[in-house]
Amino acid sequence: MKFVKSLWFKKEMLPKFIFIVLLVLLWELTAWSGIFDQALFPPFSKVFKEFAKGVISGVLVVKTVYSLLLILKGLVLSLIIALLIAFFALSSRWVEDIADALNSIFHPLPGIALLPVAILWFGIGETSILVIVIHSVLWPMLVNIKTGFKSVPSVYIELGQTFGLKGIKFLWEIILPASLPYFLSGLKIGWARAWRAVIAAEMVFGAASGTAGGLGWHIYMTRYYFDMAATFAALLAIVMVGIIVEVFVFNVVERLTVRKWGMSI
Amino acid sequence: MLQLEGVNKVFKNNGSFIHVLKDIDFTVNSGEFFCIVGPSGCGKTTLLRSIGGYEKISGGQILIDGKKITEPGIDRVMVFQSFEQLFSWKTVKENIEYPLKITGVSKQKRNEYVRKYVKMMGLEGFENYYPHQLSGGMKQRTALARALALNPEILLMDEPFANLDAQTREVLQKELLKIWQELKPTIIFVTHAIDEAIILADRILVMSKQGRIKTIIESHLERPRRPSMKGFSAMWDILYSLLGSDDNP
Repeated sequence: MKFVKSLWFKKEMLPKFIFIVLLVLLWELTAWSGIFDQALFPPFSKVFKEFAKGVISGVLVVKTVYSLLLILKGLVLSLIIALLIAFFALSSRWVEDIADALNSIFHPLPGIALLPVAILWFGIGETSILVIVIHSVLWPMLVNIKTGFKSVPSVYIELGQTFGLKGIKFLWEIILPASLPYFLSGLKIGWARAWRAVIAAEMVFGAASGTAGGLGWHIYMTRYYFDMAATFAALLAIVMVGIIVEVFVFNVVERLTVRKWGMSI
Repeated sequence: MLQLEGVNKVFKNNGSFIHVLKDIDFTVNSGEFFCIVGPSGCGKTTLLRSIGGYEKISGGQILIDGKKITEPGIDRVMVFQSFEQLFSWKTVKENIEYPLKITGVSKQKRNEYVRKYVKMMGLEGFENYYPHQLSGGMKQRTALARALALNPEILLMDEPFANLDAQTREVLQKELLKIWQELKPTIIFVTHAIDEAIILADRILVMSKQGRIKTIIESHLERPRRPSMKGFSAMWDILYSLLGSDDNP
């Protein structure tokens, strides 16, 4: 715990923290100044109260967890697929060309544009959202992982060959750690893309087929009921999750790996 | 014993062919310290990499104790010029231990080897350092320790000291000789520095810019060798003129 604490209270965090506090203050003052209608621009204090209420009652927690689980599933599946494609692309010119072609076709396609097709093919439900998430995450992740694999110094590969490493073991013990900075930045981009995809898709789907519906649906519904404070509270939840994951997942992982090893892109 | 018989190497580059190695024939005896010198671009690194099994040769054959080489193997371990040859996610100790682990050496034996070669290469106290925390010289020491721990038939060294400052290079040359005299591995050492070759080698192979063997010189100078000793400068002159005479054949 001491270690985690030392991360949170690092000196470099102070300017960021001060900036956020100032931003919140500005928000609060603007809302009370009467320039905008408070129904459209609720003060931060009200949003925070709504946020706390949502957390305590569990509504916001349930929705957030629902969306997070979808993201997690999508991220894990994309990661596995991207890793496999990148690994085979490394060993076969053919696979690489095919992967590049697929990437050129699908990377520019926004996930949400595929949603109608996904609905027709997979029905209204989690599967369709998952497909959209995977589509949104897979391509940028593949690009990063492939670039990372290619950046592995040839010396490492030759040493691996000398030591008699093959297949999965080669991937796991040499290629992956050697390309970890790229891998992690791919994961970060994937994480951000997954959020976008999930929120967008949920807004279209709602709480279909007996599911709780995620944050996207929650944002959509609170807007529908003109409960702006609750809408902002949901946005705040997304921001909070983002910060928590950044500080307690990505930063910790980077500190335990690439920064400790003196690696950077 | 290492034998090269009529080795040729042709690179294909954008449809044109570059003949890098031409009819290379030579033999290196077990336990010999063999240096390869040549002007830059002459193919000496390609030659070493071919022996390592990293390059497929286009003609001829390379044999170790009569067995043909086709791919990299644990019997020929390379120490590279690059400082980035250590796995950056492993400590000094883990870097030395890792290949032993892959080749199935028991934990107890591994610890024993690591201790032995850490001591031999003067790396005590640095066992738990990561490569980025080490100086260039320490990195090359670790790479050498890792190679030696595998007890290879042949140690291939591709200008391993070229990026070091003069003092560190001298110290490492001395230590390499000491280790060689103690363990007697076969060493094939590529360098472009004439004095380095004279200080180290039993025999020196001089390559021409065109990728042929110009000559192989035997050195009978007594060790340790110093530039001030008798015969050193004579040999230096010979090598210098051999290396410089490419322009007017």
